[in-house]
Amino acid sequence: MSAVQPESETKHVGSSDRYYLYQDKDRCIGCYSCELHCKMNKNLPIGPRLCRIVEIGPKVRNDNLRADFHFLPCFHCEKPFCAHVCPTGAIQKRTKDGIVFIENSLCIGCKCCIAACPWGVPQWNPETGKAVKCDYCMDRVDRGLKPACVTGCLTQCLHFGPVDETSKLLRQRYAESMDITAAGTPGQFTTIL
Amino acid sequence: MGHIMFSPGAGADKDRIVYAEDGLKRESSAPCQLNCPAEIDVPSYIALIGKGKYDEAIEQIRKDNPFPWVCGLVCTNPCEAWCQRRYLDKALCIKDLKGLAAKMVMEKGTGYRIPEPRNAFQEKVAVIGSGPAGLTAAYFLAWEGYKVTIFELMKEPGGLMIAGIPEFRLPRTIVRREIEAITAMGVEIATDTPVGTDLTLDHLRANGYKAFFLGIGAWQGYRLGIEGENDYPQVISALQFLKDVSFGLKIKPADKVAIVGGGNAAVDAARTCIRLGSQSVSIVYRRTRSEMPAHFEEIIQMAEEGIHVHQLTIPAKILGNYGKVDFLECVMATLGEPDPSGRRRPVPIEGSEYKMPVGAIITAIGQRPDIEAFPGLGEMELTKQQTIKVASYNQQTSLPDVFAGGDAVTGPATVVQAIGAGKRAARAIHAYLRSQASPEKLLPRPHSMVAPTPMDYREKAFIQRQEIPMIDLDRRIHTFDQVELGLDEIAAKQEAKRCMRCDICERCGKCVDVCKDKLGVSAIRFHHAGESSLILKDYVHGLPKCIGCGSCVNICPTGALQMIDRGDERLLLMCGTVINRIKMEQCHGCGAYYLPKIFVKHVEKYLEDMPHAYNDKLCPECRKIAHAARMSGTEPNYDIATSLESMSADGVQQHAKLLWLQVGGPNKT
Repeated sequence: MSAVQPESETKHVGSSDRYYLYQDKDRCIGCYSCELHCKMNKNLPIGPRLCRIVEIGPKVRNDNLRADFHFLPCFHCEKPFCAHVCPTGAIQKRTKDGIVFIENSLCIGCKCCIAACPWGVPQWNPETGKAVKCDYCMDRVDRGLKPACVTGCLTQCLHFGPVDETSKLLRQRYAESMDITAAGTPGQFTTIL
Repeated sequence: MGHIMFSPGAGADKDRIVYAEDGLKRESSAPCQLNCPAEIDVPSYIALIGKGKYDEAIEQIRKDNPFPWVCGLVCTNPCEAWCQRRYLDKALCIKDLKGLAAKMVMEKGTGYRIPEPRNAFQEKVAVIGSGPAGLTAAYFLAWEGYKVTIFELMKEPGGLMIAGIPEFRLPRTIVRREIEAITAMGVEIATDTPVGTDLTLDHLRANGYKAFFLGIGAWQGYRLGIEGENDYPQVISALQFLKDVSFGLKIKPADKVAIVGGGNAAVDAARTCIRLGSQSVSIVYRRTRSEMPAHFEEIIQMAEEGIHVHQLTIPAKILGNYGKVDFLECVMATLGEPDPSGRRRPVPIEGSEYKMPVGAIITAIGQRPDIEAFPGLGEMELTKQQTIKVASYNQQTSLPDVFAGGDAVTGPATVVQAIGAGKRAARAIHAYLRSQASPEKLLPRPHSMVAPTPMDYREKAFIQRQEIPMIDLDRRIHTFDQVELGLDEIAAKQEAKRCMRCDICERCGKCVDVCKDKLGVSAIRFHHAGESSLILKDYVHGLPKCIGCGSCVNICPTGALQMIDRGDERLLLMCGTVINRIKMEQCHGCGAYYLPKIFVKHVEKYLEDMPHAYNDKLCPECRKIAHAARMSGTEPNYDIATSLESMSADGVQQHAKLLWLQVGGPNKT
């Protein structure tokens, strides 16, 4: 097995052209729209779920009964475990934006990526006999659209964009929440970051 | 669309194999079936015999061949020569398995099931000659729904099966019973009725016969063309001799007999002479024993019975006195350049003449059909060898309503070739009478692809080819009792297990390609078997290097490779045989068996240098939960791994799918 080295390792790419998918956990109500839109966009059968809402809780926080809805897409690692173990080089990291994707024609369905990913991101598609994983809806991104999960999110808790843009947004939101907290309506918009 | 039991792997090239509407392959991939002149679905009936379903097995065989028992005894088994198992050890006893099935059905069972005619056509078809070709043509035509009459010159139908093949190879009762099964379909047989002399085809045409099948055989022996051949009555042709012996004249030709020729007729004549009491029987053959066209089993049995082969010996002159043969003068020969048949031509050595004292000479150097003796058959085009010329694959002669097959077309050949010709001719006659285009050459297709017998790889590898018991040699050389006793039921069950099921596995090598070249594991290994075929040879050791990933199963276009997860064990199956058992890793979270242990290790090996403590034995599902719990700062609760299924997008999807099905929508998301 010759592990394919992601292209990004040879060429240093600045963080500015990376994407970041940010979930505002306060706004998420766990409706699973993201999962469903993702599956419909990729036309997946029952089984594989590329992004995932994992519900933790409910538990008491700030005197409220709260459940955490964690949105778990692929993290598009800088050094992806999946690409490292892929024997055919089907899993690749795109140089221009760091998206880790599966080249379908190369995938042989060995499931090495599924075993390797510490977060269980690559999924098995029983219809095609190949692995399938979140690629931030590469085709949509290239057309200037947002990933299906972001577009389909009912509460608009998912934000997608270049990393610097998203961090700016995060800062702003944090500042706003500080402001609101100062105004005396605690808890409601408190971000847990 | 694929087979119910053998559906291609999910990642396979779905267009590679063409399936018909009934879910079976459109073209057979089993070399035994592809090389059987009668195109019998061999793997299916072997599997059925292995399950003890002899009735169904015979049903399978009789779709292509009305003579399972005859073929089970005297077939020259080209299938065995192509059996892929011979690349592991030895070929299967295909012939004897068929013989056993027929015996079980005929003797212990209810006899053959007589098929109902598919139609009821008014056209009458005349079959001339009741050898295997004629009877087969009659069988298939009667099955199709035609009124068939067979005209036979001799007093009993059966052709060479009755009058040629000696009784110690083919007991006559067997032939008679199988012919009875054909007459039971409404086929009429007129014996002692030669066609071509007084009764001509034109007479038959006037009597309403619309098509004819000539299966008149090749009864005219070639002459040696040497001095003294016509001067002595002790010089006889092998077929005449065998016919005389079959119909009662069981008299030994002489104490010392020389048989000229190396084919099956020569060997049969020699073995008959031994049984009639001749003390010294020699076969005079101009090439060596390895070039003899006779079936090798017969040559071995002949040698056991004490028949000597004078190899590289050319008869030159027959010498005698007072109308009685005394000597056969022979010339020694050496092998020279190959002739057009590919065998090396014998070249006489000058001055090597010697005299062999003999009392009778039986010539068996080939036969041809005796067309001149039957002018009433019409002016048909003949080949250079004086056989009837037919269009290939539809057996039509130069006369449009006359079809021919068997030895009359091929020259001396085998029973199974005649059966194949009869079957093709019946198909063509049906097309001709229904004014359809004449059938083209089609590759045979499987009839059922019966489920294989489940077993372990060691069992598959170590069952040896069964020895066919034979009667004692002392008894063999004195009586006409059947020599080969055939398999018994237990032996047949064992033998059937050896089948490699080439009808399921196409031996395309995709699994090796993916395992060796793409994955770099080289666990599953195929070996070259012949020129263009591959065979899995790992039945002996299983697959010691296998990591159990299932890529081979995923890529298999035929469904021959299958994977069954059974609790903590994953079984890898090749055509129903377990070729590997792999222990599964249990998820520490939910407790499910998610991936093979060795596979997890294999992946870990490649992740050693990655900056991550890869030591959690969690299934992908639980890894997500563990990660989410880490983010929330709580202990992971893996119980939700199962409950998540029902309350997530998959649950919604499943529900939506059910709704879709209720309103009759497509089975899609």
